Amino acid sequence: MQATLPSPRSIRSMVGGGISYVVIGLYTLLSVYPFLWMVSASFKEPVEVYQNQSLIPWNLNFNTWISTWGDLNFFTHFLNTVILTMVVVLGVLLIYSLAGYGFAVLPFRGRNVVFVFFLSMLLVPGVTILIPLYVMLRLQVPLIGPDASYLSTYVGLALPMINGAGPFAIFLFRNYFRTIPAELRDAALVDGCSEVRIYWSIYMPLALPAMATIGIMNFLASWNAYVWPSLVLTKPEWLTLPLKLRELDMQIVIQWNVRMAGSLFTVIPIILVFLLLQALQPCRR
Amino acid sequence: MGHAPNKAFLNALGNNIIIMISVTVGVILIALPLALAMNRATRGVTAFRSLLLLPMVTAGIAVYYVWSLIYQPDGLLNSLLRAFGLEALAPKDGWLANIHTALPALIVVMIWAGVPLAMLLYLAGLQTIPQELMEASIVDGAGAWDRLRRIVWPLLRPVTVIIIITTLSTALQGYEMPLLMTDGGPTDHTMVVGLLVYKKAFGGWGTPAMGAASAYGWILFILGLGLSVLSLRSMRALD
Repeated sequence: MQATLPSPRSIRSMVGGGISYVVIGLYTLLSVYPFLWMVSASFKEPVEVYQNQSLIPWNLNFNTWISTWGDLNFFTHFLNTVILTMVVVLGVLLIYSLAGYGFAVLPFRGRNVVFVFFLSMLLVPGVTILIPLYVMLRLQVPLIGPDASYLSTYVGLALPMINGAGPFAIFLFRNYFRTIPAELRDAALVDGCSEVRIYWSIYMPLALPAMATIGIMNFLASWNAYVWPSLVLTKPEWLTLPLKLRELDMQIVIQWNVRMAGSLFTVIPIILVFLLLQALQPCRR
Repeated sequence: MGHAPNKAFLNALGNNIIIMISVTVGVILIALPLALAMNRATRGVTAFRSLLLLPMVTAGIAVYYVWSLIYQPDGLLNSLLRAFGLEALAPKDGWLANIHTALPALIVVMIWAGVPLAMLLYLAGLQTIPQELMEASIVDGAGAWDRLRRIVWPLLRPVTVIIIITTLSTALQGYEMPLLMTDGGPTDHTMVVGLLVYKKAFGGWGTPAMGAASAYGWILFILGLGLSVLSLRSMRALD
């Protein structure tokens, strides 16, 4: 009898576990439902969007998907977004890991003062420097503007984005590099390694977790970036996906099924990359 | 310039303050229980975790669009309310066009987007709490609520401070969501300082007022600076 009856504590623990799963389940539903709604609405007819509040559309047809795919001119704008994202992410990782290396291991006069100066840039709101940036890049160094080329416009677009990611990335890289034992560098110096070699062969491989964190953050930020690109990219064919999505329905009556199909095409690449990255790190809980 | 621009600025700042307080409170109230549940449930949560993080990774125009659809006069939210007989609560002009519901509606989306990161931070914090401490407290007869109040919450305080600081500064500086979902409307009820700066400089309100916009921008910077100094102080006080 004693053996078959669970103790009050284990009953309570089971109840607690059950509540946990209910909480997780409910909130997961709340997190995912808008995305399911997006998929569902992209299959519905314009009128149906308002009348059918079920996730399952009346008819399963891909007409909206096909027409929106064409209207969105997906590959052109996808490619623009990929180029921008790659340039920003690679730039951020290369420049700021080097800067972080300098601040972490190289002794030089005024190191902390310069570091704190960089750190204080974290406090400047993006919108505050938007205006001087725009004026500067348009009027003083005309990288962007009506006559600028694709290349120059994208340089003008990406550079401030790399710059904006600077303070946080430098902070993270410096703190990460400081956890790496200085003996490694000393030993390499004795063996005659140059600083560049030490950075490239010892510090950078060891800093892969920091690289991943900063890489993902900036990947998401530049993929979703809206305001700054909307000020810089003036030619229709140069737009990134989020901007093209905004252009998609400039009609008087909003066609929600088209909007939702376009939104879906914009988020699918991020979700795929994200799930891939999650799958690549099985040890993390 | 007269008094009108000042009034617009104070209105925007007021909205910022409402957003800062309610988003921070909302995010913590949801993220902490969620993290406790994630920490407790051991089996099969990996898949859930990926799904829970979706609002964080997809922030941007696509998400604003789908929420705008949900908030439409005949959208999902109003239909749900009607189905449950709560017709009175459903604004006829939709959640984003009603002066009383537009700001709360945006705040809900901000909380929805902010919960995943806070949940991750809390989860990481919970995993640093030594198991022995919890076991000892159980042996001593502490209930679940006592453990939460006297052990978990105090030990998680540094994480809470970080969440408060990041949420406050995001809420002070952010303006993309109001720009894309309501454009500050209806009648400036969702106007925030960042959006005011943006619209003065680029928004096509007559001639661009870059100078005034910059001034507002630097006031925003000073407010952020004050906020950071305050939060750093409170962080030191906790150590």
